This record gives sequence, structure tokens and C-alpha cells, in this order.
Amino acid sequence: MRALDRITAAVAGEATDRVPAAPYVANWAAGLVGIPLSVYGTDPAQMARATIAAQQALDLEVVFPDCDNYYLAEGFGCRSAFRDDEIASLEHPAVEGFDDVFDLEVPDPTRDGRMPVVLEAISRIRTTLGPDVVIRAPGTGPFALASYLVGIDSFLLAVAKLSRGREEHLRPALERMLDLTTEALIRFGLAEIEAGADMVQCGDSLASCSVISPATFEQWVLPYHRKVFSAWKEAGATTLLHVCGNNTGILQLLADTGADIVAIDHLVDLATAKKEIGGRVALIGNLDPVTTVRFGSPDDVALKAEAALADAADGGRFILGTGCEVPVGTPIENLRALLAAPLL
Amino acid sequence: MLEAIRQAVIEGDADLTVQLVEEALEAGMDPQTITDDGLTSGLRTVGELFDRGEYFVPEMLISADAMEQAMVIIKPLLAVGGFGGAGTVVMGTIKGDLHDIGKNLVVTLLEGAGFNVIDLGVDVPIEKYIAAIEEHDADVVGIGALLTTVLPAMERAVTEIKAHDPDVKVMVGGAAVTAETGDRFGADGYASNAKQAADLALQLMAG
Repeated sequence: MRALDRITAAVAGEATDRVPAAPYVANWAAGLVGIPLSVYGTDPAQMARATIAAQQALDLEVVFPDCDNYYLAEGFGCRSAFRDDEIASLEHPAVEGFDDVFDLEVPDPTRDGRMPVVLEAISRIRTTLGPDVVIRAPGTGPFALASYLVGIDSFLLAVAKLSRGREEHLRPALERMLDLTTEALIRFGLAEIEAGADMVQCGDSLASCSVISPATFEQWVLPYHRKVFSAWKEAGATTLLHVCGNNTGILQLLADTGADIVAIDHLVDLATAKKEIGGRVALIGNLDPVTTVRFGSPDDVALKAEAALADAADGGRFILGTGCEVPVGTPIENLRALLAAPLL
Repeated sequence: MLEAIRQAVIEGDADLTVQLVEEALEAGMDPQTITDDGLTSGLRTVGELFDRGEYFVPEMLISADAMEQAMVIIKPLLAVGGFGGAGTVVMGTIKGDLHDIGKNLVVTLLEGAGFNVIDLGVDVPIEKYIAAIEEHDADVVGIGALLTTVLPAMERAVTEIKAHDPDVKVMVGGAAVTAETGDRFGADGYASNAKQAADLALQLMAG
């Protein structure tokens, strides 16, 4: 089966020749070809070269040119930096305070921030690898993205105060920020599909149940995610929701977003996730990227992969993967062990 | 009055907390009692609510904010050693990681548990931990990492700190870290959230 057909069939719950496997391999590719993350995350030719090299080294079904959390945020005016060639970090929010968010505009994905880097990388990868490899494309979720606009602490303080019925004057600003970030993510995802992506991701790290309550998710995340996935699905893409952390308490809400695939982190019991939402959405996961995949042996990885398949492969709608991104420097043998598991 | 201050911290109402603390001081209440049985006690309850999954990070943040704003008023009034009697902890997020929310929550709860906390902030190089441990004669050092990419730096930090000062207790935490990772790095303890970090620091002091 062609990778795209296998993924599409798996997502639809139809028969496949085997379970697809797609570990979260992104910045790892920079390590493979020996380029700094600051080059990988800013130079589309290098991002494409590294991603293609990873595909060829591992015979990946799904490639993922993802770098950090700020390529889109920078389009709004946030500043980030690659210090000492570590992964980029947020250095400065887009605005100084909530009053200023009304001056912000939705950035243009073909022009603003580092979105053009990702778009060009996708297009180069598509040209080189052809139609037989699935391109998964990154996207910063509306809730996380909104937090970068004013700074994460200020943002979460405002969310908490509003939920306690205080400082109501902040509500219009918060709603405005989430409208802006939702629209920005929709446009970026559509541009990625246009550039050649098959699968588009909304990665909303801050919307994790390790950070916010189910009630906060329902109020400040769910409606915006619904808009994003509905717009992307209309454009014909397969959609993926990636929120890391222990989300056992919001599994139903994650499925309610309308994403085709929900990523399950290693902190969630995969069998529980399968039982709760495996009939409504496809799942991808959930090996521990650090303890098992980075620091374990190939045998450890194979055992955990087997356990994940036993927990979630029945009835399809499952892609074997990792709970979150595999660190740079992860042994290639461990990734091979993961990718080989569905073949055994 | 103390119960009202406690509740204001638990509710995360900074304005009310500050107002109540001012009223208590005006009424002649002992600043140490206000700190211990009002503010700190309230924050301890917040930590427990977080541990039980009833509070999440935003709720913790507004409570920590309420406590911090009240401490600005009350700290100068406390006797030397009245705050931080449990020991001294050096805290920081490892070099390469600029995430500070989790670390800030740990700092607040450590202060709530009675520690004197030296907060080195984020993106902390190994030499800075070592210098701070020496300068403040720290009992415990806490190293956080949210990103999996900085784990090699964390491992080096634990090794070098232990080599430099075998007596200082090293605790690690943050989303990138697990108990197994902490063990492998040679840390004395691992905490999965801010409340557990404060409990762990107390255990490390006792043991």
C-alpha cells in the first residue's frame, strides 16, 4: 500500500496491510545531517534536506518538517531566539499588554514570521519525495499562540481571573486574541496544504490538561479548535490534534474538536484512550519519547511498541508513534525498532 | 481574620489578600502569624488542590500572585530568618530552556513550605548553579526542564554539581523529566509537580 493510502484507510477505520508507524521525528533530522537547529529552523533548503535525509535513513511513511513553537508567532511580532543552537525559545511577546491586542492583524503565511520557511520546505520535500510519502505539517494551536502574544504568565492569569468572575474587562481582549490566532492558524494550514502537505497539525501544548482544567478547555480551546479543523477538512487534508501531557480527563473533548487523528502522549494509558474515543477518532501514539525511545534499548522500544499495538491496533484507526517529539540524538536503531514493530 | 486571608489566597484574589493583610497589620497582628497561618497555609491548600487535580496551573498562578503581592508588604516586617527557616533552595530552569511558569510555581510553593529560595530564573548555565550553591550555602538545588532537547545539559548539571558539592541535594523536575531519567542522571529526587517539589525538598532536608 502507498503510505498516504494506508494512513487514509487507517484513519477511516478501513482495512490496511499493516498498522502505519509515524514517530514524531522533526528536529531529530537536523542532528542526523549534522546541522544546527538554528539553521534547520530558518533555512528552508536545509530543513528540506534534513527531513528528506531522515525519510531516506528510516524509510519513513510520514515526514514532519516541524521546528519549534514560534514560526507562526513571529508573524504577529513575537521574537524568539536560537540560543547556543538549542531549540528556539520565546524572547519577547508581540504586545506589551491586553489593550494592544486590538491593533494586531492576522499575519500572511507567505510573508510573515518563519511561516515561509516551513512552506518552502514542504514544497521542496514534496518535489523530491513525490506523492508516496505523507507530509505532516506543523501548526501552533490557537490557545498556545494567544499566550505568546502577551506572554504565557499574563495570559494564564487572565484566563484564571475571568473564570473566577473577576476582571471582566479582559474578556474582549482574550476573545479577540483567540479569534486572531485561530484565523492565523487556519490560513497557515491552508497554505501548507497548498504547498503539498497531506496532514495538518494543530499542536496546542498549553491546552494540555497538565496545564488547564477541562472547564477551561471547553470554554477557551474547544470552540476555536472546531473552527480550525472544520476549515482544514473542507480543504481535503487529514487533520491531527497534538496536545501533550496527561489528557486522560479531556479525551472526549479532544475528540469533540473534529480532528481526524488525536495524538496520545505517553502519560495517558493508550488502552483507556482507545476505549474512550477510539471509535470516534484515529489515535497516534504513545511511546515515551525520552525514557523509552531516547534512552531505552531497541529491545525496550520493540516491547513498548508491541504493547501499544496490543492496546490500540484492533479495529484500525491507529498509527503507532511517540507521545511527543523524539529528542535530537535519539539512536537511529531505536527509531528503526519502532518502525519495524508493525511488520512483525 | 487569618481564615479570611487563607481563603483569599485560595481564591487567588490578590486585591482582597493585600487588603486583608493590611487590615490585619493595622489591627496589630503578628506578621509571622499572618505569613504562616494565613498566606502560607492558604498556598499549601492550593498545592493540595493542585495535587488532587482540582486546581490547574492558571488557578495556581493567581494564588501565587496573591501571595507574592502580600509578601511585598509583609516581608520587610518579618524578623531575620522568619521567612525561609526550613532551609535554602537554589532553583532554576536549565540552560537552553526558557520556560518559567512551572519553575515559578515551585518557587512559590517552596517559599510556602518555609524555604529561603534563590531563584536563578531560566536558561541557567551550570556554573551559575554552582556559584549560587556556594554563595548561599544552599541545602537543595532544583533543576527544571520542560524541553526534551535540554536533557543532556541537565545530566551534565547534576553530575557537575554533585562532583563539586557532594552534600547538596539535587532535585529535578519538569515535563521533560521522569523519575527514571532523574535516577539515571544521579539526582537525589524527582518531583512531577510543584507541590511534590516542595514536599520533596522537605524530605531531602529531613533525610
